[in-house]
Amino acid sequence: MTTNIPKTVARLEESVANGQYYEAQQQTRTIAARYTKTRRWDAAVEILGSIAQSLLKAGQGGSGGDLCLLMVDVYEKAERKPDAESKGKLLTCLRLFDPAEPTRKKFISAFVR
Amino acid sequence: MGNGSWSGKFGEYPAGDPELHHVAGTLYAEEHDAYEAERHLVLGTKDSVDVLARMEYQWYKESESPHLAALFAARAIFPYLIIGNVRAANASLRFFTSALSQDNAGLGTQSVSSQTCDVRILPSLPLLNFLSLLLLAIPRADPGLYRQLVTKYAAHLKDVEPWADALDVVAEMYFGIQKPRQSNPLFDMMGSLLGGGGGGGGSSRGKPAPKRVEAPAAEGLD
Repeated sequence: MTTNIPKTVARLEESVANGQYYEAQQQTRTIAARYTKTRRWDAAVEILGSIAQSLLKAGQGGSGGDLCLLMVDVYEKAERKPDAESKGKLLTCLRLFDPAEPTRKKFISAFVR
Repeated sequence: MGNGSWSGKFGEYPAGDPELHHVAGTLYAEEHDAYEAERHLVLGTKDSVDVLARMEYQWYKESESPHLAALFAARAIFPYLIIGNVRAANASLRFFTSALSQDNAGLGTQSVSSQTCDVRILPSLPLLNFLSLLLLAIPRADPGLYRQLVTKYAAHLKDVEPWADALDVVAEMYFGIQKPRQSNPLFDMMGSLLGGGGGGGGSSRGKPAPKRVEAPAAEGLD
């Protein structure tokens, strides 16, 4: 697969900007799953992280949180070590959550319990 | 080991990455979710010590129960002791004693200094003094000293039953005092199922699981 990641991210971000939250979430899941299958971990994390952020910024805590959880899943499958970069991606998302969003606690305990 | 979280499984720290604990704990502290904040901050970084002590002190002030200072200080001190972080336990106590004497001019602090130590004694808060003396006694690792301390403060310790479990762990970890384990039918059964040879459940290896120290929940902090 030779998809251009920045282009894909831009397209998905546009869906979010147009209020097509569910579509953006589902497409992101599908694309990330494809990357995960082919062990293109960085690409999967890039897409999940970017669209999670867009959704969270748009106030879509549920769908954004779902993608955040998937990102931790990819870290696990990739056996990614916690370092400045991998932790930074999670913390950037964490700060975008509304404190009242129930998915946030799930997200936190997925990466640090 | 590992506690099931990503950073616990793939990082250097089985209990989870300290930096991630720090950020999560600080977030919860800012939102006044004290119980969640405690769990994370205790396993956090050097910076977490101050955040935790500050939160407990704030919580204490909001409780408007001046005599409960030691209970709130203990919520930081005991968990730190139980995970072996004596330095953080001392820092937490220092935070409390200096904040207390700063906020209450009439508290009548007595500084006791010698070549090896420097303690602030607050005569009106005996349990806080107990904690100070306990922390002073820890480096000596003398079981006699520990027993003396507990005997001297027995009347006050009676009021803080929730400390009992934590003190048992501290006594074992730092003073080598093993409490005869009470027979627990479930443990005994599991012991024999797991081929531990049965035998009254007295021979559990390793440290007892860290116990949480409960202070009375402050009102208006939920």
